[in-house]
Amino acid sequence: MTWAPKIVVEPRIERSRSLLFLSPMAGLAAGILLGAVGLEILGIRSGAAFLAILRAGFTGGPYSLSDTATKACPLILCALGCAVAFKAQLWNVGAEGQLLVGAWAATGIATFVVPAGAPSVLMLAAMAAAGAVAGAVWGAIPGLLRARFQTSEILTSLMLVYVAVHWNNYFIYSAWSDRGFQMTPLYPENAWLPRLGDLAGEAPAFSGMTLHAGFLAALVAAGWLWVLLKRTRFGFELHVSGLNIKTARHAGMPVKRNMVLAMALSGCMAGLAGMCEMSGVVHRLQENFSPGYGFTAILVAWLARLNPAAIVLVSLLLSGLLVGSKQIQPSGIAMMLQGVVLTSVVAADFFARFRIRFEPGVQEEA
Amino acid sequence: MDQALELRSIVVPYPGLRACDGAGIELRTGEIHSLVGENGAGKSTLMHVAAGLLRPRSGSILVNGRNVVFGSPTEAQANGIAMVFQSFLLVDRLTVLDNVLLGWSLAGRILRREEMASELYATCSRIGLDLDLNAPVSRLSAGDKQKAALLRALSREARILILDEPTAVLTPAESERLLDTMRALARSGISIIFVSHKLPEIMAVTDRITVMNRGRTVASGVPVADVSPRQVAELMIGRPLAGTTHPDGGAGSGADSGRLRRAHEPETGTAVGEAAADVCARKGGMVLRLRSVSVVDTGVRRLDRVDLELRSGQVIGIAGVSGNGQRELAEVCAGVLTPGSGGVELFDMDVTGSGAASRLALGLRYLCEDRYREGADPELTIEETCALKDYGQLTRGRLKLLDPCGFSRLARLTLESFGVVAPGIRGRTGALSGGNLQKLLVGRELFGNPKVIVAHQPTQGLDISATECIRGELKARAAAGCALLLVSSDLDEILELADEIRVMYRGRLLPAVERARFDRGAIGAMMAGVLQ
Repeated sequence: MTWAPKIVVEPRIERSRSLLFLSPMAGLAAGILLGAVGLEILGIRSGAAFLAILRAGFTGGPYSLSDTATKACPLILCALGCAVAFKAQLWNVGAEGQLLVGAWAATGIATFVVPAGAPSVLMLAAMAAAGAVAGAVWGAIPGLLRARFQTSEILTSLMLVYVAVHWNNYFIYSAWSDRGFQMTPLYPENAWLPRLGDLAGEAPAFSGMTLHAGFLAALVAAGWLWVLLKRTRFGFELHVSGLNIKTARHAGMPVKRNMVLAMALSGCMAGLAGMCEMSGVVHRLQENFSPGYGFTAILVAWLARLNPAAIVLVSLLLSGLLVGSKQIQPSGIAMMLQGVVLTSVVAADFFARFRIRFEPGVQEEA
Repeated sequence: MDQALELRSIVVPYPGLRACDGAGIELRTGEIHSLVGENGAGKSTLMHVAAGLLRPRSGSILVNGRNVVFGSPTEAQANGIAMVFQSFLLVDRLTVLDNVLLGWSLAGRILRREEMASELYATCSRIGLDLDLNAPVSRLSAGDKQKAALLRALSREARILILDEPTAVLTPAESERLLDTMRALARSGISIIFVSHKLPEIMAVTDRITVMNRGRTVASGVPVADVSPRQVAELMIGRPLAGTTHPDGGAGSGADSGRLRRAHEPETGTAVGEAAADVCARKGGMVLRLRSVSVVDTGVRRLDRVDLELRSGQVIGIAGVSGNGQRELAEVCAGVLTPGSGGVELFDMDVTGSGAASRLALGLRYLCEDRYREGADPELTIEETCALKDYGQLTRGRLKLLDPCGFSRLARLTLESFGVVAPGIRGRTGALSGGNLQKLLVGRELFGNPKVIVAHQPTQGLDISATECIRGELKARAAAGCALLLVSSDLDEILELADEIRVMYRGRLLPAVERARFDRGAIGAMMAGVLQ
């Protein structure tokens, strides 16, 4: 009798629900463990370091939560955008660019179009609309190219990120520069999204908190998107064309129109994120205001399996990590930690999707 | 005779049911053994076990009397077992030769193409396969693809061949040649398991028959001389056939035995006469009109100035060897394919350039050929598959949001009215057997209350009772005034249903043949391009 066991990796046919949630958690734990090993090698007490991260990002009281939620806002919006496109198997990886043009358009409105004396509601509505439209246009371009010429939207949406970076830089460095500094003039106050800190007069506990109304908008957007994907004809059409575009076409669904619409909607969300970040946090357009929200959002959408509620949770977790790891110096170590944790979480996803089996080889009996 | 392969009390569980529940088959060296049963009886599952694609929960496999366990298809191949699948599993862009060499260890790390080619030609001539090894698979007819798949299996030194419904996509002549090849192979000592629904072929070619019903073997290795086709059919469906006038699969009057009757007797004149009178009574106004429609795809004329007129209540059968433009014709009618030139009119509206949605809105329903990729997707839930074309109506409230209850109601109604056996409406569509999926799709199109149906191969690969059920539904709709364009490579089906036959040959529609002048021989000659 011979035995030749071998290891076989095969996709799971029935994906267990508990595993879908357990595997990222296990990944998180493994990442923390690996990170701890790294820290110890560098001579840093890992326990204290992680406690510091935890405190600053999550458990350090209302201020740390407010910071985490502030950072989560653009992540949520961008990830929701990614989710719409991914649902239809459109790989929009250019949320970063759509966020940048959204920020640009909002800045243009706040600085040059709507007068500083206008009612704040009007100003903010105009900025949001401009940001959303600019992002939508930036997202619709790869969508149109894909629908019309079968161009890969992965390449075009990514390339448009670089176009957006340099487009913005032109305005930051020259056209809209504030007295030659590499930034545009500060927005008038009517263009600022209300912050929790603004309520300090009535509720002193909020004083100095940076969380802005954009977070509320992000939550509303998450709910709205859930309805859109699960309960509308458009959402059903995206679901079907994401699974099988031939089936969708045979069922008479407007496949090409939806391609453009989904990409535009995706860009629209990211553009809105750009507006929120401008109006809620930075208050002027400058270089590098986004630490790659649009790229991290791809990861968020994927880890959350395109579920809007999960996107909110995952965004909060990741932004807590971003906020908390600022506590560790030098910052390179914090970046390393983030990288290790994220890589482990993504790697753990493998186990939710695939099964590893030990296979006994041909077994013969005489 | 020696025993080549034996499967004993195989049990394979499947979500919700047991696909194989103690089934088995015993194959002797050099025999052709038919494995028959309804869709979902567990034939494919049992054969997947034999080919190493599935591991049974219990039961044993014996090759030449030795107990074996297969961990993969490669291990089954090492034991001389090869399976030829219904869908052939060939790479379209590669040549026949490259398809055969693909993944073949003997071909070497550096391909010895010339050498292998001459060896393969030798194999071909030995068993009488006439095949151009350098032709790309995409240009082959279904019959030639079948040959290529067979050659690939044989080149792996297979001693035991499993053919899964090999004649499902072949023309009558191609099927005949395949049966000859099978006989030649059996004479050379190769043992063959022939999985099929088609009783005439089974009776013509096999030595013994094993019948499966609901995961169990109900008749095992019965010599074909000892049973009648009727008895086999009754064992398959597990109940007596209706219309018991003649004991031996004879001329039953019920629709139940229609398929069996045609296997032995030609169409009777009186039935044709009645049908013709019937047609005149119900034929109505113009419904669908194609004017000089042409489709050119990468230099090949798929449709060549096709004219067609379909009236309400009329059934036009499009016959032909598959690959002569039938698919394109059906797709142009359904709005999935836009013709390069010419016009399409539906109820006097010009719909040439508009898509499938416009046809749906006007009451045209398309039952497409590819159930798993076009009609549905295996990953959709059954509920979603049912609602795929009518989701627009399943809305509620002022905001027109989709109504989940509407989805499940429609699904339950479809499953019930058409007798679809399913694990549940939230299950994967891919879990349905071929016959059940097709019944569901027919149900979906009929629920849309169509005025025109374009049906492409509506019963391909289905068993007797599913075929009966679907043809019955289509007939009933036509009688109620619905126009039907029936595109099928099954001539029997067309002869049974159509009022008028148009044969497609190389993208052209040949002149119409009225029901009164239906003649199997003449239509066969038109299909082969001999007679215009």
